[in-house]
Amino acid sequence: MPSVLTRAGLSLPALLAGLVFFALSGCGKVEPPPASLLAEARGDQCVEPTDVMRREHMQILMHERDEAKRYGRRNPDHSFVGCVDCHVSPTANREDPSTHFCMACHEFNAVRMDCFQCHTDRPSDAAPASHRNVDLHESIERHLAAHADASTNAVEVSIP
Amino acid sequence: MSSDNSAPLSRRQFITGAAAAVAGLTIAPGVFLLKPAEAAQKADGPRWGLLIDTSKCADGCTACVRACHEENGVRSLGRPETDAQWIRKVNLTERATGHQHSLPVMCQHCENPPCVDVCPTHASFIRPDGIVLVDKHSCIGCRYCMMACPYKARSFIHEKLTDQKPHAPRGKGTVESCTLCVHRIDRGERTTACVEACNRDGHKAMTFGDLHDPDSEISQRLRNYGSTTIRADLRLNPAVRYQGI
Repeated sequence: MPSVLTRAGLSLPALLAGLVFFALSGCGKVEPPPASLLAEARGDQCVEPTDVMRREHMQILMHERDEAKRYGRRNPDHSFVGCVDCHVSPTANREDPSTHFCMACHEFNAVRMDCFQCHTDRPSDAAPASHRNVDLHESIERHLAAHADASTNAVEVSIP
Repeated sequence: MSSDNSAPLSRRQFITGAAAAVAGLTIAPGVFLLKPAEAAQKADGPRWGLLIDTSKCADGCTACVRACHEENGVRSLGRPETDAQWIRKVNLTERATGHQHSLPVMCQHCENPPCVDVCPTHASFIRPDGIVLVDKHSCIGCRYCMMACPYKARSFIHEKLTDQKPHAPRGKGTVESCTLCVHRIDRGERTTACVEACNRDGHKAMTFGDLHDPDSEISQRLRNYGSTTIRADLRLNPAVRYQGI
């Protein structure tokens, strides 16, 4: 058997290396969904080249979030709010992923993310729907009324 | 021996307890009662704080509470027992004289915060400028910090939330509290929503400023008029200080 391989000008290690290379060549790529599914960003240019962002946006966000959160050293170019402000349309809806830039791609690539469980999925200049504003005022009033009773009133404070 | 203390102790140091200073109170060799959170503040950096003059704080006024909750998108879900509270008004009556005060209480941003001591995931932390925060990326919602806090300053989010403010991410299963409007401070503003509202209403009961800057308004007031802190006996050295209680 070895003689057949050597006659063909191949060696076992080279074959294996070739196989591994072939297997890995498919990794590390992000398949963008069709353009029709991706909302246009509102800015002229992204903060990094497109292929860098496609591959590394999660590392950039993850790496710099600790700096921002723990030390207050914020990089406006790599801010989460900045991404949402530029990429997400004020009319986007989380329930309909095709209107939402992040959701559309994540849905297409079947990658679950938890960012929007806490972070807002709407840009900061999105006009809040009128019912939302009323809601907020109403709920704050309710909140205050609920806590205005004696339940939060202390009788005495200890001052050493 | 404290794991933080990388320099090996000599037998003499160990026995005489000379090493105790690095690790808090020694009850027996190798057993330490408490290890205070690292004092993250450097004397050269700022330390943000609040001064609240309770004699100017009007009874029944809730401007600061309203402003805080509006600023950070904190809203009621109709269940007062579990609704989040970042700041609340407390009415105090002195039993002996019947004298009444009203004052806002929020996270006191302690220098030695018990919430940071007990947090098993290091989600509770103190920034170099003295602001005590929860890193919700690593908060597991165990609520130890809520039990440790003597000021009842923290709230747990029990339900799924929507419509958060961009600068104040909040989510189910995590603990949260007053952030001293950290988003404003990081933007370079030198005021908080509660202080702004109190000044707007003309009470001027709250002052925000740098406790480490001897020329700041808050430092001068503290120096000239004195102040107290709630539960000063715990020696947590809060950054929120009160006058008139």
